[in-house]
Amino acid sequence: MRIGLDRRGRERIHEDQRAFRRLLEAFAYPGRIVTLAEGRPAHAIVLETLADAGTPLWIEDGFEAIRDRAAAARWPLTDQGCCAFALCRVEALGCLDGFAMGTLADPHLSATVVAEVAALSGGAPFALSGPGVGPEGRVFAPLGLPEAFPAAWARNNAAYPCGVDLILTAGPLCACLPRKTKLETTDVCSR
Amino acid sequence: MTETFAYLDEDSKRAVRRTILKALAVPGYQVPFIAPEMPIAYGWGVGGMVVTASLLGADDRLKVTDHGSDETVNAVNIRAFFTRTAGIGTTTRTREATIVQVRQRVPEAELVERQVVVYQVPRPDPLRAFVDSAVEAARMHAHADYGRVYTRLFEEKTGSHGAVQPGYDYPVLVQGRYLMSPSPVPKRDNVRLNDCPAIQIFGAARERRLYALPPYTRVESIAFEDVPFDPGLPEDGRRCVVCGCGESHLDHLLLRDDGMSEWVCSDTECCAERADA
Ligand SMILES: [Zn+2]
Repeated sequence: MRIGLDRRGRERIHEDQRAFRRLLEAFAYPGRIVTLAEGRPAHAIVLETLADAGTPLWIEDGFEAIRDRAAAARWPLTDQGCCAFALCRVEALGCLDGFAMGTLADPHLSATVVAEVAALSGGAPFALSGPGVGPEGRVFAPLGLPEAFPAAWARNNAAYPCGVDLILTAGPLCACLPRKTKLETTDVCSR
Repeated sequence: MTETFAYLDEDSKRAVRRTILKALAVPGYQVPFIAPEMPIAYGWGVGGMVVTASLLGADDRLKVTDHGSDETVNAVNIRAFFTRTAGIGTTTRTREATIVQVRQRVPEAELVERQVVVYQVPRPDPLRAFVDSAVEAARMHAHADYGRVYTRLFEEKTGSHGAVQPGYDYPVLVQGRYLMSPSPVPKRDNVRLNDCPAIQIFGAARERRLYALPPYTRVESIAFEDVPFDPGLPEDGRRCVVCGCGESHLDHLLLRDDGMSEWVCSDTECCAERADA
C-alpha cells in the first residue's frame, strides 16, 4: 500500500527496523532520549515506521510535508477524536480530552500522540515513575510544554488502563511517555 | 518480487510493532492481534517467531532456548530459520544476545537493559482455566474482577477441592492491575519476571494475543495474606550431575541402574558456565 514510497526496497526495510528498535527503547524506558534516524525529523520517522492504510491519522496544520506523504501513501486522514496516531503541535498537549482513550474492554484502542516540542531537555524537570523507570529514577525536562500539560497528564494517568500514549519529538530525537508514566515536578536538575 | 527480511512481509511487521507498543503501554493486558502465518505449525512457537521477526535487524544477535536448552530440536530449528531468512548472528550466551526467544523457562542468566526476551505462549489467558466464557473472562480483565480466581486458587492450594497447586504457568498480577500468564514456566521462574531490566514480550499466535512487561515492572505471583506464594523449590537435596548445582531448576535426566533419579540443569548455558568454572 505504500505506493511510490518503496523504491528504496531493501534499504527501507532496514531503516524501518532500526527506527522501530530505537522507538521501542524510548517507549520501554520512558523519558530516555533516543535518536530515531540521524538527520531526519523523528516525528516523520514515527509515522513512517508505524502508520499504514489501516491507521487513521490526525495531522495538525504545520506538518504539510508529512500530510503530502500521508496522501501519497494512502494513510487515511481523520479528525482528532477518531485517530490512531496524531501528529500535533505542542499546544495540543494542554488538553488531552479530545483524543480516543480506549475503553476498559479495549484499552489498546487509544490514540498515540506524537508532538513536536522545542527541545527534550532544558525545560522544567519532572521526576518520572512507573514501569520502565529503573531503580535510579529518571528526570525528564522537555522544553516548551504548555502550562496545563501536567494537569492534563495527571488526568490521563487517572484514566488507566485507558489513556493516550505520548511520543515527544524534537528534530531527530524522541522520548516517550506511555500512559502509566507519572510525572512529578522536581527541583533536581536534568541528569 | 517482494523482498522480505526474517520471512515476514513489512506490512505484517508494522502491525505487530504497533501491537508491541500498545502492549507495553498497558503491562500485562492481552492485546488482540492477528498473527501472520509462519512456515511452522502452531504449538512450535509461531507467536514468539512473529514477535522476533518483527524485531530482528541485521545487527542483532539471537539466542533461542526451549526448556532452558539451546540444543533442543525446536531451539535449533528456530535459530536456523532466522539465520537463513535474516542472515543474523546467533549465540548461546545471554550476555551477547540482543534478543532471547524462549519457551517454558525464564532465562537464568542476568538480563540487562535493552535486551528483549520473547516468550512463546500457548494459553495467554490465565482466566480460561477457571472461566469457560471468553466474554466473561474479558469482562473480568476489564474490571480487574479477579475474586473468583483467587477463591478457586485458594481452594486448590488448601486442598479443599483435592487438586494440587499447578507447578507451571502460575498466574501473576502485573502492577497490581492485570492477571497474566507467565507462559508455562516453572513457578520459581515467576520471581525473575519482576523488576527485570529487559523488555519482555509474550506472543500467542493461535489465541491471537500479545502482551508485554516493560522493564522494571512489578510482577507478583498471586498469594494470600495467610498463604504466601510458594515457589515450589524441591527439598530432596537433588543436584545437577554435570555442574553440581542444587539451586538451579533441574530436569529429570534418567533413572540409574540402581533406580536413583539423576538431575541436570534445565538452563544449559548456566550449567556449562558452572561446569567450566
Ligand atoms: Zn548443571
